[in-house]
Amino acid sequence: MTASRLATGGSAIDRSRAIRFSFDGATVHGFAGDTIASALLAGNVAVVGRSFKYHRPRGIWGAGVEEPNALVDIGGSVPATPNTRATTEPARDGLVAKSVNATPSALADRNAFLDRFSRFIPAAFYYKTFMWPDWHMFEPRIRAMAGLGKVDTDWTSPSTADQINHHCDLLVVGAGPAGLAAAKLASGAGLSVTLVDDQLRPGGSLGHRTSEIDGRPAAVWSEETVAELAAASHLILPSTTAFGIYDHNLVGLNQRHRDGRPDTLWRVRPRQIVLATGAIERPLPFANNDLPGIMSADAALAYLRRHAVLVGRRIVVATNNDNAYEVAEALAEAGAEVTLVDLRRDGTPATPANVRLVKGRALASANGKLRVEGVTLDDGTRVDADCVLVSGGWTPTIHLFGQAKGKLAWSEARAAFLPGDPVDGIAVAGAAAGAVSLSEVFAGAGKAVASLGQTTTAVPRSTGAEATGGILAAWPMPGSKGRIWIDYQNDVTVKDVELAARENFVSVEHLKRYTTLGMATDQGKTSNLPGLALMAGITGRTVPEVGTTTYRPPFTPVPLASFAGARVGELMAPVRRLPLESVHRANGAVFQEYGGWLRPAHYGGGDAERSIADEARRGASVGRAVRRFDSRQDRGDRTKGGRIRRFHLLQHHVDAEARPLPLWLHAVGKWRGLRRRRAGAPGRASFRRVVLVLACHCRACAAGGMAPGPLRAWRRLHPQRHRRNGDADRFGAERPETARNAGSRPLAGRCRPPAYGGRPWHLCRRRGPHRPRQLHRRQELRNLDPG
Amino acid sequence: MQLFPCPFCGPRDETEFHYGGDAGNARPDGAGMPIDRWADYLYLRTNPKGTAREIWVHMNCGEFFVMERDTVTHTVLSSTALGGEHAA
Repeated sequence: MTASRLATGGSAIDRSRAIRFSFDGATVHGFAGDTIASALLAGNVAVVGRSFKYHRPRGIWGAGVEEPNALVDIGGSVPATPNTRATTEPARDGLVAKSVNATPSALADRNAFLDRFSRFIPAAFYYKTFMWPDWHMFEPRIRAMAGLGKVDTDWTSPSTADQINHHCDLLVVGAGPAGLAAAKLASGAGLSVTLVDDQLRPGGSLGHRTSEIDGRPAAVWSEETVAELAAASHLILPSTTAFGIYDHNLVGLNQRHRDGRPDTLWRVRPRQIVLATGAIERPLPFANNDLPGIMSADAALAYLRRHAVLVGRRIVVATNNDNAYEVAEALAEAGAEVTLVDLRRDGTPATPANVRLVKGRALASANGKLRVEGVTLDDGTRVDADCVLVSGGWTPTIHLFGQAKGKLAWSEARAAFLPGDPVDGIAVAGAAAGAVSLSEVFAGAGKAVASLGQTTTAVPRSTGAEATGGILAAWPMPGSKGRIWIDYQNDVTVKDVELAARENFVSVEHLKRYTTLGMATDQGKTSNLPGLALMAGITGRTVPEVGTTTYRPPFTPVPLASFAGARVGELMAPVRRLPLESVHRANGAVFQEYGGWLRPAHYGGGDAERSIADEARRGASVGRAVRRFDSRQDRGDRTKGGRIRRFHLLQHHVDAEARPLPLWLHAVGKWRGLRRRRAGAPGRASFRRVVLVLACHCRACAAGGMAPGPLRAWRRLHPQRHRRNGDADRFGAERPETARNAGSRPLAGRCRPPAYGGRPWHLCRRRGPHRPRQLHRRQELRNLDPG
Repeated sequence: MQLFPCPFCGPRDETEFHYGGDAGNARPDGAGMPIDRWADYLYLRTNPKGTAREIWVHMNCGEFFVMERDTVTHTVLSSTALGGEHAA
């Protein structure tokens, strides 16, 4: 590939502001407005990374969020961030980018030899091979050889990430033609609109596809529309990705900043949502289709029109649909020698000027080692090329619709899943809904806004040439020759999917987990649909029968720092202090943390276990006080008790003559033993000693018995054994068996005395709040409910 | 995050609410109640797939209310203050 920057053009770049950054130690020149990827392409850097498993050389594939290959760790003048997509990250002066999974550099990777052994390391190889004696013995080495970027653990952000809660009438996701039209219509209907777009500049495909709207060039129309929306004080957020839709249409936005600030997290609660998220171009299946220099055709057009980068001199464009014709024409016009290979024999658009068209042929393989040097067609013809552009059709970006539990519908005409039955408060418009031509896009945007109950006026009109949507599906076929990549980022080939099918991992969810298809940081934006179409082909099912994996947030990676926001350092888990802490300290308390609370563990220093035992023994002399205390506790749940309610006081009567039971015996609730001793004891008078034990109420501690809440209920079930009033009686002498209590032998068998099965609270290791359950008030309220 | 309609404060984030159990699970009365009845009251829950009537408390205003919602789709069907007034 001999990519180069053209002398003129480039709508996104500012040639007056040159910038310089480094990639794998080499200096790269670019202009303000470049992404890292466009600057690398302009500098003719072909190999930008190594693949996850086989360490194959990889080049830039796309021009947006779908990028599977061009991941870089960035640092230097910008916050250190691993696994950044070079295609969406703006190039900045002094930035230091490093390719991932490559030592020392992407071009000369030490582990490149692994690719020669690829035959022996198919999907699930590791799990099958390194079983004996223990996977964990091998794991560190294997993990070190695979993997992507490195986290710089020493780097700390100088500031915390902002988090913003936001409300609006309508949230429009995507500022392409559909999003802009929908926002404009909603603005006309008097709604407050928030428009988010993940690109640096709004416009979407209008920025590089030729079209005319309302008599003006599309790029002009989009700028005017954005200015109009901004003037009407609607919120417009560029460089912001809507990464997830949560319950009741709460939308999470990830806003990136260019000034080094950490990403901002927006929680948007719109009344209604229009998803105008567009579509992502799919690769075509042919052998070695992962070589550097093989790119998405639409991306090549974007680089040409936005960044004035011509991706090659001798270009082969392979396609199965109409959209690549415009790309071929534009590249030929820019001076490249273009061969267009169309899978279809007939029904193709007019041949563009200066383009050699080959009909009815597909690519069999790409040739080359570190970059593509040519292709072989399926009739054996070889064509030399320094760049191969592929267009395998469009996959609508319906991730957010899927996350909102929207059902998908398969469209044979578009060879893709489209949004099916509508979801409350969400409308899908544009290419995400399967629209191809601008007229369809605008009609869809009008309908989307109308479906949300808004009247629409003056829907924009497309006045130029219209795109057409002719496509002949080209899915990966089982039994194909050579290594055909499906998932670039996780190194999944046709053979891996076949292996999964042979081993009966035919469900799409099993396929995903067994082969890791679509599990990489790109979440299979380019690979999911070809993968499940292949599985459909292998198992003789249709694509909708195979179905898709579940769509889950986030759509793109979101830094943890933005979820943490200001809750970092001490604020991550603030220590909660008692109001009387100083009093406790004055009394020699030794503090420990119990579920976030700093509480006295024991008094007087020394050994914790012994101090508590001592204290418990001292409790004998204050028996009456303790009993009163305990009975207050018993009511505590119903009246508003004090802080002490967090723990429950246990009171045991122990034979004064016997050796005091060890503390743990009370704590772990060896009630039966206790009772038996008591049953053999002479009488009530000898049960004098009171041992005080604090029992922890947290669920983990109570897991051994029943939770404290049901104690009273349990008592109600066995009133004969535990009268509710008179605490002295409660654990007192065995009551005579009567006809009434004959049936209840709660202490033997399944109905154990509840609650105190856990550890004593001072030994509790739980990190949650120690709160007793407050059942009573609610139970009473429940009784109020007439239903 | 779900949006629950408090009959007094309007729609608010679910983090402001606390669950209070099934609605209509009346506490049995009287000492002679059989053990089974008590056990039902305490431990048995219907856990319906679909429409559920539940008691919730909005911790910000402290009011308890009955909410009907779909446990599959998370659609809130109704929310009524205890006592019947203030339907939202």
